[in-house]
Amino acid sequence: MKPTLWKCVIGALLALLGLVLAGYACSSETAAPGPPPIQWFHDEGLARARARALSKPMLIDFRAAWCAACTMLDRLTWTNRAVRAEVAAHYVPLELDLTAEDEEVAALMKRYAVTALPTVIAGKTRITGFIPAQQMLAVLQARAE
Amino acid sequence: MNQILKLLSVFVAVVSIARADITTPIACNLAVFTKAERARHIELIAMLKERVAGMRESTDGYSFRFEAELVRALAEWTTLETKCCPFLDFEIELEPQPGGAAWLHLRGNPEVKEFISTDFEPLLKIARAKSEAR
Repeated sequence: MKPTLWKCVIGALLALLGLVLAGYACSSETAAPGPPPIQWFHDEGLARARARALSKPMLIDFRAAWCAACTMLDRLTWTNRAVRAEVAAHYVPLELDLTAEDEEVAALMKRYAVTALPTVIAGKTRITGFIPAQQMLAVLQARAE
Repeated sequence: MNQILKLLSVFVAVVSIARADITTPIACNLAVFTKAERARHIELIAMLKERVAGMRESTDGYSFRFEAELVRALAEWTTLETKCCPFLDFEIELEPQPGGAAWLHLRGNPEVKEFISTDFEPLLKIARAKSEAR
């Protein structure tokens, strides 16, 4: 084989290796762990104290076990990387479960005027019903400014 | 004339259509049912799960197959369901009688379809299994 052909073969192999390494680097980037799942408070008093201490607004998610739209919010919205990052940086998240049909839940619903689920209160903004991640992100960013 | 009308009604009858307002949020309204309605709603969904005979998936939703004799129960369930889930499109279809099936069509945009697959997951599982067994 002529030396120039060898050079071509080695060059092609190096280029291929470069492509493989670049591909690996890209896949590592997408697989890199993002912000952790939202660490919801479940105690209103604790969440409120934390929000005061950090001077952050609360993000309240009212939900119930029977509420399919709440499950959608969990699966499609709260899992979104950008949403998780926004919540971690700017909010104190509180999840309130309205599954039980007792006086405590009734009082909670009355106090927050919750008539449908899911209801999300982000600072002073109220969202009723499921919204996709991009829409939620816009709401969260508007409040966080 | 009466004969023609009778014949037409025997071929295909769309019993009921409730179109959703697309601006209605995907939310479960907590205050729509009385206690009796809620109990009846639970009773009907249990019955539908027991009696569903098959299903079909379409791009915008799901259709559930039942025996024609259940059309009244389907209408009752639909009346209740439209109160708590007004964002869904409901349609009850009766195939030519005698012998045809009754279909319950639930449709909507992609998010509504996602809601249907979440909320009606147990019914879908049973219906899918029955469809595959046929």
